[in-house]
Amino acid sequence: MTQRLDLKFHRLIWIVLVLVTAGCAAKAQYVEPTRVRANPQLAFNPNDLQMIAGKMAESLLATDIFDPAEKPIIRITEVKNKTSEHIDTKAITDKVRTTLIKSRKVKFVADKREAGAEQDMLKEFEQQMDPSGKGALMDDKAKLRPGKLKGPKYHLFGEIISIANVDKAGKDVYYKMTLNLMNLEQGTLDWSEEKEVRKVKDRSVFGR
Amino acid sequence: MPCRVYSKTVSALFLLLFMCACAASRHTTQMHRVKAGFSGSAAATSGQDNYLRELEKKVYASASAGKFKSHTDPVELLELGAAYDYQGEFKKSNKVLEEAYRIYNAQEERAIVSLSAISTQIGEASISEGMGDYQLANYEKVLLHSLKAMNYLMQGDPAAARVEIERAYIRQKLIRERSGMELAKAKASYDRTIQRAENASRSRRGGVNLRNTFSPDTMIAEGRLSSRDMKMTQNLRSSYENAFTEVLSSVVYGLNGELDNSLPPLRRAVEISNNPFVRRDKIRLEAIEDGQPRAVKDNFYLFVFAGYAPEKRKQSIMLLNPWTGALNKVSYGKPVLQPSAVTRVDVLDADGNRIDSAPLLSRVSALALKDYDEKLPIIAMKAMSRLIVQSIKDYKLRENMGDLGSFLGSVINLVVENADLRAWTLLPDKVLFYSGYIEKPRVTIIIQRRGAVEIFRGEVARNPEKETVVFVRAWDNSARIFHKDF
Repeated sequence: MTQRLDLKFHRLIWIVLVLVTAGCAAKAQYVEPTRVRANPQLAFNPNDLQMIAGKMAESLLATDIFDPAEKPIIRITEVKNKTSEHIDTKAITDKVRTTLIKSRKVKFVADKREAGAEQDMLKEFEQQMDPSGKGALMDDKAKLRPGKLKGPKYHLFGEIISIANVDKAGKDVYYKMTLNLMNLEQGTLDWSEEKEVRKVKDRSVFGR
Repeated sequence: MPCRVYSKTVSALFLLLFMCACAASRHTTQMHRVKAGFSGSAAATSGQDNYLRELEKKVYASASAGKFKSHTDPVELLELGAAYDYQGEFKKSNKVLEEAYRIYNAQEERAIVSLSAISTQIGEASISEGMGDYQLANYEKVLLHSLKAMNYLMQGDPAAARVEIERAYIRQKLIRERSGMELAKAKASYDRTIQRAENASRSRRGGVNLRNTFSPDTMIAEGRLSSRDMKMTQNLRSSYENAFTEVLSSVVYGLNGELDNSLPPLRRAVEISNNPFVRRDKIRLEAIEDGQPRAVKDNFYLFVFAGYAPEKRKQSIMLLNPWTGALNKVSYGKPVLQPSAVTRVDVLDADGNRIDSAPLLSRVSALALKDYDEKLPIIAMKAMSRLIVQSIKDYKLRENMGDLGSFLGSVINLVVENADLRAWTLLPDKVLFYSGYIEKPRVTIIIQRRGAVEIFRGEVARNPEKETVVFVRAWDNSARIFHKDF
């Protein structure tokens, strides 16, 4: 009788273990883009992108550099990655540019490094001006007009650096992003901002 | 515990552990098959595919999906990464090498204070070399990032190459900071083991001084490099500093528009390499920095990887243990050179006129020998710790089973004790380098082996308005050439 109870008890334990393990399986879910995880990764991650890039753009908009009536044109080049992590700096640059465009205070020219942007523009002009090709079929009023190309007044550029430290206490990672706005007419640096993020992870006794 | 049960348990345990260490001792043999696939002519492609599949099976759970196995020994990742690289599969190579980086980085962070790292060290200090995952040598850690940087350059991404150069420098800095740590750990483990042995046999050693009997000094003397091998390492400051990484860093910084950062690596490279182009590049960059009007930067960089890095061969020392009376063995892996047959690399212009040749920049084989020389005291201490643990076990076996126990102990030790023969053998034996300002759009590279036999002739069609980086992987009978304009 005692032996049967023992056997049933062991079976019950196994069933519970299986159910608990199945219930612990990781599940994916949708969350708000701006939600911050309680236990962030030490590597540069989407939260850091939101934190740094968005705040830099807001800081620039809060200044009185741009005349809304003028809507100056800015050329933005991809933020330089001087860290030891492969960071998608295009995502940072795009975030800054999107925030600035949405303010309707500035306009942008395509970055020289954006693949094909300038070539596309020139190709479109060529095709529309070609009297034997596309140009012959187009409504003259709808065609692109030469002599309207605008140049940038400002150049927005920057870099991101990191310093990481690992010791017995844990890991400490520091990121700093610097963004600069250069006035191309006057050759002056009209604005500069830096944002820092520091993440610390204490070493656990067991595991990683 | 009855004798029969005791001996069965001990035998079964050691058989299991022996199988674990066996994998580490088979690496050299397995890589011979892989290298055979490379060294054939360019037409023999079916053999090359086979060797690549063999390596992929060890690394991927699903090769088509690019999904790694849940656990892979880093050495397999390193070898596959290099194999992809030499096939021109730079993206795949970087993916595999990034996984190797992730694993070795996690190993290092755990090694600072961690229970799991200690368990690997316990295995090596008590059972056999080669227990647990492969621990990359210092020069391999640095060259991993250099190879990744070259892969990114060949994909036309100097910004990503810059990240790898940063990682290489951080790694060198960490190695420098932690240089005494591994030796201190090995010594602490050795002292603890000796103390255990002394406690276990306080009144029953028959006058045997354990510290003298199991001193690492004898093994260090036996394991020293030959005078010829020592000569190769005499110009090296350390195993983790090499001129190839420094020169590549300079090129990468230059391609990223950071001329001020280009100069310091060249200054370091000049101190550790006799390559004349490194010296000339340094002078040119210093002239540009000084604002001299006619100073012109080079626009053509050629890196040639030739031959293979050293393999490891098993070295064994047999000794009659004066404490237990058993015959014992200690084994360790010692690097053996695989010198490249490539003797000369010439650079010709479009008209067939010789511009110059590419002399030696770095000898990776020398780095491997230097690493072994630096690690020999650690290897010896771990081997002696193992021997002491074996002796304690043999002593207990003898106490339980008499002479049969001694005999069983000897047999177990002789069978289980194995050398770790793992190393990143697909790295090159040497790196050759040429740089210059070339105005012509076509450049020819000719490679010769011993006896002035031409093994390769490759053309580079380039844009002379841009900077060109050329990467050549040469074996004894063939070569592959890759290049990118920036």
